[in-house]
Amino acid sequence: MRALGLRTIGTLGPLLLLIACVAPSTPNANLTASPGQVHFTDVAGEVGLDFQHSAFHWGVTADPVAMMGSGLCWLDYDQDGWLDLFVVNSYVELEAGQWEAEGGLPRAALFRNVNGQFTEVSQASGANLPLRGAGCVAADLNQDGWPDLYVTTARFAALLWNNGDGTFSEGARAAGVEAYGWHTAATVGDLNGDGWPDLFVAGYVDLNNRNPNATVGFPNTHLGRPDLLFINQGRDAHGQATFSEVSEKLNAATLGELEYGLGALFTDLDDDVDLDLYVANDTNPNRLYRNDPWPGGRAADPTGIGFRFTEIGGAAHVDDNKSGMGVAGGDYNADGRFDLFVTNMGWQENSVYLNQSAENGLRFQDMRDDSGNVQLGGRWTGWGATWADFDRDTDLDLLYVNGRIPVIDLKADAEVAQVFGNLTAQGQIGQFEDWTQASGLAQVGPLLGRGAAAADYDNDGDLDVAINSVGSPLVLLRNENNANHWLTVQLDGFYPGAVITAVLPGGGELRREIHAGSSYLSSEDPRGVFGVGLVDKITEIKVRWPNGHETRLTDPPINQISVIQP
Amino acid sequence: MNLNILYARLGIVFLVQTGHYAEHVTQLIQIYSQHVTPAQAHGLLGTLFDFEWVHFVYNVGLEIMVIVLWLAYRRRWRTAPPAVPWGPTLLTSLMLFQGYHSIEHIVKVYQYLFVPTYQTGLWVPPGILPYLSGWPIFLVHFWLNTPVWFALLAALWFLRPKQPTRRRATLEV
Repeated sequence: MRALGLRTIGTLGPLLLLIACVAPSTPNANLTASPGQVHFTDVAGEVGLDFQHSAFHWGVTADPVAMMGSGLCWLDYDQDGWLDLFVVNSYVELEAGQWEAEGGLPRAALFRNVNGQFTEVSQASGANLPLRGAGCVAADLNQDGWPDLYVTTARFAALLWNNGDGTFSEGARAAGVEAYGWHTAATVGDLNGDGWPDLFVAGYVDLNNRNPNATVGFPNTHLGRPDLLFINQGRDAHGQATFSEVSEKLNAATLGELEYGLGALFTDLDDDVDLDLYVANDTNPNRLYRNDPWPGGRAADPTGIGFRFTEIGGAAHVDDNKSGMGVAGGDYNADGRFDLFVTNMGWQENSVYLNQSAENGLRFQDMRDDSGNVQLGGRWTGWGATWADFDRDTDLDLLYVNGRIPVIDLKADAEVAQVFGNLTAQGQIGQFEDWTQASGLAQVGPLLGRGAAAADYDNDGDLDVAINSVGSPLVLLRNENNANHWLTVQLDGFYPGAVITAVLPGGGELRREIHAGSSYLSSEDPRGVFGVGLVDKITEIKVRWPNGHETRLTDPPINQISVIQP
Repeated sequence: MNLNILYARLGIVFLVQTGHYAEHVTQLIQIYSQHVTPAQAHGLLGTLFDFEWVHFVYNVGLEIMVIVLWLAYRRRWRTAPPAVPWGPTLLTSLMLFQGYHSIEHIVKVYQYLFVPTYQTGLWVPPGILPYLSGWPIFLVHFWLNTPVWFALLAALWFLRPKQPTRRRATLEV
């Protein structure tokens, strides 16, 4: 009975039991691959990731900031070819005094990756911010070749400029990307085609303003916070990038409203070579902002922005008003269009939005109940989520972490992370099977999971997953993969929104989009990681850069990392 | 006690529960048909009565009324048989259903008063079933109220006092 969701019960479950949904099973001759075999092992301690999220160190209290947890970011901060890990920390406000008495407030941590083993460099790098942190995004905001970090918190956001010498300097105010109050997700991409990455920051809750009309339930007990959109103005006279906040000037309906934003993703959903914005709101409708370029570009735009956002969440059928948490984007049914996955509260079920857009506009269909013999919607409270080809069989599998809110007890409220294997490569397009048990995720045990981010930290061609859990040790799920072949494409520079296409010998195409800021409060692998199944040769790699130009690489070597320049 | 008075009291309890049940049905309509978020779906009387203490007092009060009815009918059935043989089972089931419902509300008030997470009023105390199952609170309480309302309806119908049967005089020829 516990597996029954709200929809089933609420619409008189017995009637639904009479309905058999037979999913279409269409063979895809272009995508041949061996059956997926994935096994995850938690190796955080083994590889030197010694980190514990500091919320509720002295017991659970009603501290919403601590309960909402924190994210983590994969970035190659030292540009040595190995992805390092930045982990956001948080703590209970009432415990600040106790922490001070014990030697200081909990701090964010930076771990340097050397050949798959991590060394903590938090203090030496200056990235050890003592914040009640929420999310982070890794992005080369000043385009100097070194990835920077933007960190959202319950009070002030921080911008850690990467100095290129292993250290960071905080410069949010000088850069004009201040975000006062509780902000959560951050995502980066070039919205107006000027070559400079812009920054979106989701506003969550105004803890200083109780909602006088609220009777039940956080976050509605407080007023929301408006989202912020920072347009990059390029480098100033001192060589540092500066930004201007344009959410009001943009005049996009709902962008400046007091909503409870938690998840955000820049992704080109209509495939028109500009980045659209999807925002998952907690109890407000989720929003989809279509990017409409200003005719003539930024120079011709009287506001100097260069585009407009048109909110089309309702028209596109992606505007559910559930407790939206994390967002994952990817082409899971291999039709060339990027789909969305949104985590919600357990009884609400997660949303699986299949992109069915055509020339007449963006349209999605919620496929949560049509994903094979599994419920991708889930029954637990989902947070970080990622589409990733864990078994390297060419299609995107789905992993998300769970954990109850509100938190009463760190152990009792923990829930198992889940992974679902995509069967598209086996001919069952858009169908999934539950791998949670077989993959070893169940053996990892229940977590109060929040931030989750996939990345190939050991450069072995498969995607691993780091999980930041409330008040708990960091988890690093190492993917012990099968013999399927792989190819990783690293772009020479920071190009969020770039679309990488791998063309298989049979003509099938695999598309991956580079994201900076996704899942829940996190940043994932900045490279395009492809599993190519049993084929030992790739016909071609195509990179569509954010400006629309294309680079092609024929006969790329497989089972290694290829670097492609614009 | 006079059976008619007893039955009138049963009718009052039914009417009270009908009003309460209507609130829950309205809440479901608001959520599923009007797509109001559960946090903002307060039924007919809105925010006036949607508080933890109100729910606690109502449900424990209803249970006390049901127990009083059960005792009164039981006393009466010692001397006169029930209108239907399963009348006692019906009233006992009603008492047990509402008894569990009351326990849910007692636990909710306990959580509200003593569990730190719920003391600030930021989150609604879940009680037992929603916490253990993950089911939404509004749905669990709709289903807890449903058997109580139907049991009361059944009691109202099957335990109604029987009219004295008229004997038709027969003329023997």
